Amino acid sequence: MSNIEEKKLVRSIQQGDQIALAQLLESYQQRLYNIILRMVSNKDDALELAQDTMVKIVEHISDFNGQSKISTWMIRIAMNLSISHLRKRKLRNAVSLDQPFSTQNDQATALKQQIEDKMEPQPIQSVQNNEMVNKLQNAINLLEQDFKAVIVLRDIDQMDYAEIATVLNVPVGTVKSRLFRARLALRQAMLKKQPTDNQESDQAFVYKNGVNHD
Amino acid sequence: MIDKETQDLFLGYLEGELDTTQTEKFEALMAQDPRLEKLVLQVIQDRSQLRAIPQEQAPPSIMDTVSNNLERAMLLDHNATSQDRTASRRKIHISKTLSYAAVAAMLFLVVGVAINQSWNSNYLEQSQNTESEALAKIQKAPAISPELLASKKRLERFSKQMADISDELAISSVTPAPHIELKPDTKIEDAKTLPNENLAANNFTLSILAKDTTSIEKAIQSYCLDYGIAIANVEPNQPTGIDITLNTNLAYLNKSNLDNSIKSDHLFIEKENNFDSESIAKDTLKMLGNQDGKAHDTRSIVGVSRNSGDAKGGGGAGGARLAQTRDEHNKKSSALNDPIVIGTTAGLGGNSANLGLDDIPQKEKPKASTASAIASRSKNEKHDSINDIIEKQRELLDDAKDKLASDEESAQLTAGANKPLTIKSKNSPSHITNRKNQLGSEYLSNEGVSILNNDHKAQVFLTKNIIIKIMPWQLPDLIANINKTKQQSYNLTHQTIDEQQIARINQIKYSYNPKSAEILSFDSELGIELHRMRLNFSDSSSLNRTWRHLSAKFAEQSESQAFIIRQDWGHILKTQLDIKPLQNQWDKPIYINIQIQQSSMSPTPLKNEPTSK
Repeated sequence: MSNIEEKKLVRSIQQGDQIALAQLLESYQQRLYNIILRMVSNKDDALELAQDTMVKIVEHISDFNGQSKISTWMIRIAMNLSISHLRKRKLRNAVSLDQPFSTQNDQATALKQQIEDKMEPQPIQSVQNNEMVNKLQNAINLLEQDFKAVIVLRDIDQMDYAEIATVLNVPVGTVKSRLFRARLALRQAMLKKQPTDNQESDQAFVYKNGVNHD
Repeated sequence: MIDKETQDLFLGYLEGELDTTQTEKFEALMAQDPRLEKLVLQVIQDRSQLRAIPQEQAPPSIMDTVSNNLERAMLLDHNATSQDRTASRRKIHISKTLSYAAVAAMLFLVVGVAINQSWNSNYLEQSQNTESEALAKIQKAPAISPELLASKKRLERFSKQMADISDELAISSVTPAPHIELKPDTKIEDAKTLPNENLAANNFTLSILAKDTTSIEKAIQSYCLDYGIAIANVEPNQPTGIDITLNTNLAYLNKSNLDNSIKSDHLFIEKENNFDSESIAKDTLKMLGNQDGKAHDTRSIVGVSRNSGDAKGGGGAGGARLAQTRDEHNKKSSALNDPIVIGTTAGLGGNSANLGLDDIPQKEKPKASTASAIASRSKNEKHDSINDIIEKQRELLDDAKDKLASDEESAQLTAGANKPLTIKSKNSPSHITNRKNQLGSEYLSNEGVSILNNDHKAQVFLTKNIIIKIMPWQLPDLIANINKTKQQSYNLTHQTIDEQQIARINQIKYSYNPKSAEILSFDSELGIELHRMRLNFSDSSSLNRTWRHLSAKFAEQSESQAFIIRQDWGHILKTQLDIKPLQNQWDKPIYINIQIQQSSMSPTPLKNEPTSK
């Protein structure tokens, strides 16, 4: 959808054109759902959050001021809801009485197990494909929310730096910095998942170069 | 820790954004450190794998569930008890807009069925024989939009779910949309299908006072075409009246008169500071040559407007509003027995602000029939051009001026032993001081001196009526469409509504954004103007804040007062019509007479030379 078309569509919606609103939601539901799914890695949660996102879009479309693209604005809502959801989930997990106190490594294992439990069975495609997707998704799940967000937006949704900056409400420089660290963190997570002979030295390099957060 | 430059190189290399020099530089770095090279290759691989992750198909139930929630919220909103409703609202955060939208979508289908049925029963063919003009409208009418067709399936599903829930909750009033076959060539309902005999019973008038009827008319017609709303009738412009506004920049040196005068931008005939519309009307008639104060056979006063002297700085347009009609059938009617239209003459030289109807006593609010009556009275008469009407009015005023000189009673209004002396001057504010000095202090008594700057202009009103058939839920959209014309002077009121058709129509709310105001500080002891400034404001609260601040400052420094003497209004900030038909009558059309009134000011004052006494 071109910028002009998009602006026309938004104007129509803001003037009460409900058909245009339905058109907008339908055209973006796939994208929003996928972004959310990659963030929360649970289909039920993703479905619920996608619906919440759409309701919020409908409720606040009149507040959209056109300073960014409508897609950016909608993804921002989706991303905020996803991050908020992850925070709540993290909090629930942190205070869960069922989860015994353990070391950091054990927590990571428990987290991975939890993620694996929550993952829905993938559709039957190629086994290799499934393995790759699962491996990446598990690695993404191990990332901090901020890192996860930039990875999802940049590499999966393929947004540019400026759009990501708008979605996450941070400067472009911060996006680049986070993306750099997120890539290293992802690599580190992949190494955790799939140890190799050279894992130690690779991890050493990653640690040496730092995976700090903002 | 990697420095920023290396970080940028790293990212740029991954993204392929580096130029040749930078690429060589980074590859040199990698050559020096095999671990870095390996890491980069792995990250590139990660990135390509991430990009290759297949898109998950969104569950088809995403939209269904959203629609379901909307529908449920709508039903609960209409039928649940207040406790249930509160609980439901907590759970389902659905906007009211979408609730209306859902109902609107359903009703599209219902209307579609009606159109289809009437089409199949050859109704239009019958109409074609009798009204070729209407047929032209049918041909021009747009086909059902592809978007509507595209959403048909979804809407049907939605209506089915709605029907199920209705059954479950035993809600008989909700009518599920029938399953219909919408075709691209389905035509919009012909205007002729409007049952004219029902117009009177179901009529509903929206009055719009505007400077430009054309853009509003286009907006209405465009909307009607887009949404398949039938236009029943469009009357040509009808001259419906003339306002002669004795537009005065009035300033009093009289302390007791100060409040009334300074806050009033325009003031017409004043009799000992008492506004009495009936007296004004009588005096005006006398000025126009009818000494007995009764309606002339060719003139009748249909309304008197006055300014809101006590409005909160809001200003207002004033002046007597006369209407000149030549319908011989109305010769006997006495204007003073007609309903007095209290309202504004917005747009007078751009100075006037709109006076809210809330400022008017209830009993004086305009009756719906008045404007229509004026329109119908003048419907069959020969239309004079604006200039002709103005010219005739000018002659009347010239005659009146001559008579005024010999009219003792009228003369007393302007001069007398114990009456305020009225001085007419071209440059009232600055002239006041000079005249005051010339007159000396003897006139600066309690009785005061008033100076008028007459700027008599005639304002001719043309009215256009467009009668349309519309679904209740389409009305807010229509008004929003009209609002898009954003005319400088614009007033919108609804006048009548058939209570059988509409359960509730809350008032149309509109607020205006004052873009500038003129603030005057006035020394009430000396009777002189101290400061005058024109300031721009972003909103009315900032205006009032500034006014209070200046007022306090002036009072502190020189015991003077600050007044907002003039406000120019900007755009309309918001217009909202909260309309709610009876629950089971959403699908019943209402007929709206949209009356657009356009005013045209005479280019030159009717009274060229001010006189001084």
